[in-house]
Amino acid sequence: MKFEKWILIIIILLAFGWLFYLDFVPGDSFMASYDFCSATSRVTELSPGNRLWPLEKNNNECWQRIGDSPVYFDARTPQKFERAVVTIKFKNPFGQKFQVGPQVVKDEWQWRLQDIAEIKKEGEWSVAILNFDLENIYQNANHMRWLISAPEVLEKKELLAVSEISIRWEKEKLNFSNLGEQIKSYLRKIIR
Amino acid sequence: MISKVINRIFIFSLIFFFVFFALELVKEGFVSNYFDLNIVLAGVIILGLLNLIIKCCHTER
Repeated sequence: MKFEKWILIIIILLAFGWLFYLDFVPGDSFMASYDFCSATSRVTELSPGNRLWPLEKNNNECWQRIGDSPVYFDARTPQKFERAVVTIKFKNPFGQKFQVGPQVVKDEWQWRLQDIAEIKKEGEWSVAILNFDLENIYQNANHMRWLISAPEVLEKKELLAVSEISIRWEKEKLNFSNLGEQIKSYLRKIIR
Repeated sequence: MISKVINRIFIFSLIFFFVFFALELVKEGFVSNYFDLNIVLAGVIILGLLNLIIKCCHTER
């Protein structure tokens, strides 16, 4: 029994070490994405449901139409990051105002919005790539709230759909000079 | 022999599940961002049922 007990302890410690390594993000980036086909833990579904059309699916592609504005999603951030590169696949054929951005201060109506503008085409879909500077953005929680704004969508009733949201979180790679700072920011997410 | 092994694996997987469930509660996403803990839970339930069935058979004999 003693031998078995040690095996269990070693397995738990190894699994803990592996998860801690991944969660601490010693590298310079962390990817999170939501393709509207299957739920993921890193980026939530859009909400609230009463402002959105039901999810639609065609072959391997899924998307959701936005019926009213604003809508939100949460993205999990295991560490503190300096930048976020957001890639959105969308349809906005009538060019209405369409923006996305993170919440600046927790529980306050302050958002750093940027226009979702087409950079390239992927089949029928437009793709936008947006760079967000996360300095002065509240990051002590385990997730960051994002807002998608389309103020004209309810009135104009024109097509506005999103098919994929992916976020590449970026920070400085872990080294001796920033070790203390990164440990501190990681602990701040646990002890708030 | 088999019943003993299943019993041990069941207890170990149950402890494993509770340890990592607690870690997930302490830091949201610590486990679920990388690994689906429901897989372990499914294993715990299956092993628990097997354990129960084997024990029942032994008692009947």
